[in-house]
Amino acid sequence: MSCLLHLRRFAAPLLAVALLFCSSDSFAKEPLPVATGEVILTISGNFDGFQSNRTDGAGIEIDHALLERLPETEFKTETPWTEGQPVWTGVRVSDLLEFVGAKTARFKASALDGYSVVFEKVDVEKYPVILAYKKNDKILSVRELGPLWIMFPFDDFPELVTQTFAAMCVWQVNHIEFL
Amino acid sequence: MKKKSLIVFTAIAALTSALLMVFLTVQGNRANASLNEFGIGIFNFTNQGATNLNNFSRALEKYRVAKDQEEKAKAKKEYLFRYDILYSAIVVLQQFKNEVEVPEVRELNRISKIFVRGIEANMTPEYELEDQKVAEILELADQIFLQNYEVANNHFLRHSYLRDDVSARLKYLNTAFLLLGLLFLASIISFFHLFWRARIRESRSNQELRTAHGQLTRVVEELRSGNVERKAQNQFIAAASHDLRQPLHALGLFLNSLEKNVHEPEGLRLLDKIRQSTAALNGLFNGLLDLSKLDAEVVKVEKDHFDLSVLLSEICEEFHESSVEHNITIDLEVVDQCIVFSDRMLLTRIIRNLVANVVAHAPGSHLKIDSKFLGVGKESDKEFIQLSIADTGPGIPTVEHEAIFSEYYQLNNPERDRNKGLGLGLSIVNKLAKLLNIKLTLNSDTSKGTEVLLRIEAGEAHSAHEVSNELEFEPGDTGLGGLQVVVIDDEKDIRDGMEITLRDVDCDVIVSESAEAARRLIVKLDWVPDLIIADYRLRNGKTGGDAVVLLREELNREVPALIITGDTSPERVREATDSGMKLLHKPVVPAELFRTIEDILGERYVPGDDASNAITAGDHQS
Repeated sequence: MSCLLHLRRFAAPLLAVALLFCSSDSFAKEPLPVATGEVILTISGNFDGFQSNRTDGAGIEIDHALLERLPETEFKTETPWTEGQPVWTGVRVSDLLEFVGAKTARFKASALDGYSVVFEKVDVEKYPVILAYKKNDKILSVRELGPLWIMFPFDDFPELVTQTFAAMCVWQVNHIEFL
Repeated sequence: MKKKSLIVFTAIAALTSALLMVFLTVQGNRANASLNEFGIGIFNFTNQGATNLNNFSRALEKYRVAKDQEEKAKAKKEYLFRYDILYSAIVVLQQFKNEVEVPEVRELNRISKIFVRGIEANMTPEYELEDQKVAEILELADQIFLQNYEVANNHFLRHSYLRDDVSARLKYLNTAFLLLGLLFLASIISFFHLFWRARIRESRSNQELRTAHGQLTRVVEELRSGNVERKAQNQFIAAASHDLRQPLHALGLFLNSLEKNVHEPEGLRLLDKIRQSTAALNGLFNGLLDLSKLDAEVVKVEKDHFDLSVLLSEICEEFHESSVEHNITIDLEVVDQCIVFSDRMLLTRIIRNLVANVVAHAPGSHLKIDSKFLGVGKESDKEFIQLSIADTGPGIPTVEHEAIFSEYYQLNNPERDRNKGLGLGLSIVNKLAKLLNIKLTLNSDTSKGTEVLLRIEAGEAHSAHEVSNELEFEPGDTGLGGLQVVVIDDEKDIRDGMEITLRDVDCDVIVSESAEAARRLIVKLDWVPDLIIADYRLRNGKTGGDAVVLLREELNREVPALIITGDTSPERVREATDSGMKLLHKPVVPAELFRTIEDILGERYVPGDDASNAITAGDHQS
């Protein structure tokens, strides 16, 4: 239930941010500020929340600072790849999709090692799936399968404990493309 | 199929299904275990591992061939980044607890660890890799790559076997499931068959039980209600009385004629006794007949306004002699002009029965008859007169109050002395009272005697008219002389009796045993009768009505007819009544016979004589 509590806690900021970013079209069409820190995620494909903040105009680049401006969601869960029951902190994937104004029902998450999974939008809306950037309140490094790891709340939803959802836990995510 | 073999079959099918289910569970678990062994993580790992090693090696190669510092720095950053990814993958490998037990994976894990330990110190931004070292690292990476390939290779072989295993078990499962389904179906069918049979048997036995219960209940109820006894009694009495009425009827007729031929005082005394006994017998039969008539609901109520005090005086006079004999004083305190609206004949019957009861059962007591005017009551807008008939006799115990109104019930007559009647009096009273809407109340106990209250509807004085006392019939008064009468009766005694009786009053009589015989005789003699008297029940299932119709056809005129019947069963009484002809019930005493004949002929031949009376009669019937 922890994730639900957190969801409620973050419901108000989420609304505020949603208003901040999405309430007016003129603002929505503004380009994102150029990432000042290390770029950890690039987004491309069919979305209309922002104009590109890259020099070549292909998609947007997001650094850690920007991600942390989005509402935070966290839950505890065990995984086959980690010890104990860590606390995972990150951005709800559905929040991110809304933030960038995703126009499609499917998107592809790709990782540093070339692994990629195509998600249905409904999958990440049905459960509080997050793009985790912290494990036990510590920023995930590449060696710890960071910097971003798509994480499902397995402990809160036992029906998620299957090979299929395990395979959807893409670690070292660095790119999202709306198909 | 026999029930036993069905049960055995069901049991075997159920047992086999259970065993199959255990087998299925075991197979399913094994297949699942095989699937778990399938090591899907390793498959992914080897795939990605190859990519990661390749990326790392390429970055190192790029570093080695970099021409300037800037390019070198960029390549260094790249290989350090790729190393981190490789490192993370090697860490993940430790998590595959099951797979690490497989020899080639254990080997991969071992050399990966050596690799990391060997180059970890070199993988920092500060450390400048020499070409020699780069070659060493690439050599090690190649070894890992080959081992990785080995794992993937063996994985393929191993899991080809596992796949076949799982597939074989799934085939088992399929067959077993099919068998299980069939067995299950068979079990269900045989179970329902058994169930259905049981249900049918159950419902059949229930049905039988219900029927038996219903019959038993009816029998018990009939026995309890006393209907059986009463029905049997009624049938027996009706049958018996018919047979007894015939001779009694004849007896009456003969007795009347005998009177003229007896002159000795002793003979006249005996004749008088015989007459009394015959009268008592007649009374008993009339009681039975009344009851039958009431049961058959053929008694017509003809209500009229009349003075009750006159009626009561008549009754008191009637009982004067017998009351003196039984030492009973009668005190009649009914005011004059006590007008009631009721049926005179039937009410007379009620009061007469009640007074007769007092005379018979309360000798030596004081009988008081009085009336009271009851105004308009709450329950009805009619006015009533309450007639009280009270004696100071032995009274009736409270427990008997209900019973004394039932048929053949008599208090204090265990020896069933028939001189005290049959016990029909109060039953008739009760039925007549109901018929006339007279409320009958019995107040009685053994200390103060008996009081019967009759609540009779009050009448209107101006509507009442006096009816003169019926004239006593005196032989010789009749105007029947010269009347031509045909008598049809299948019993010789009756024919003879009728012939003598009618000849006594100078009638011209032809007697015949059947309608056919009578017809022949009439034709032969060319003789036209003024009246036909026929018994109701004739031979060969013919009725008196049939006989009358036949003769009327032959004569081609509506000859007046009188039917005499000995039947007292309610059904017969109704049949005879329905024929529409004038009806008399045996035993008929001569006086009654002559009066009836006069009535019939009077109606017939002098219709205009008393027009107002005729209209009144019509009103009563409507």
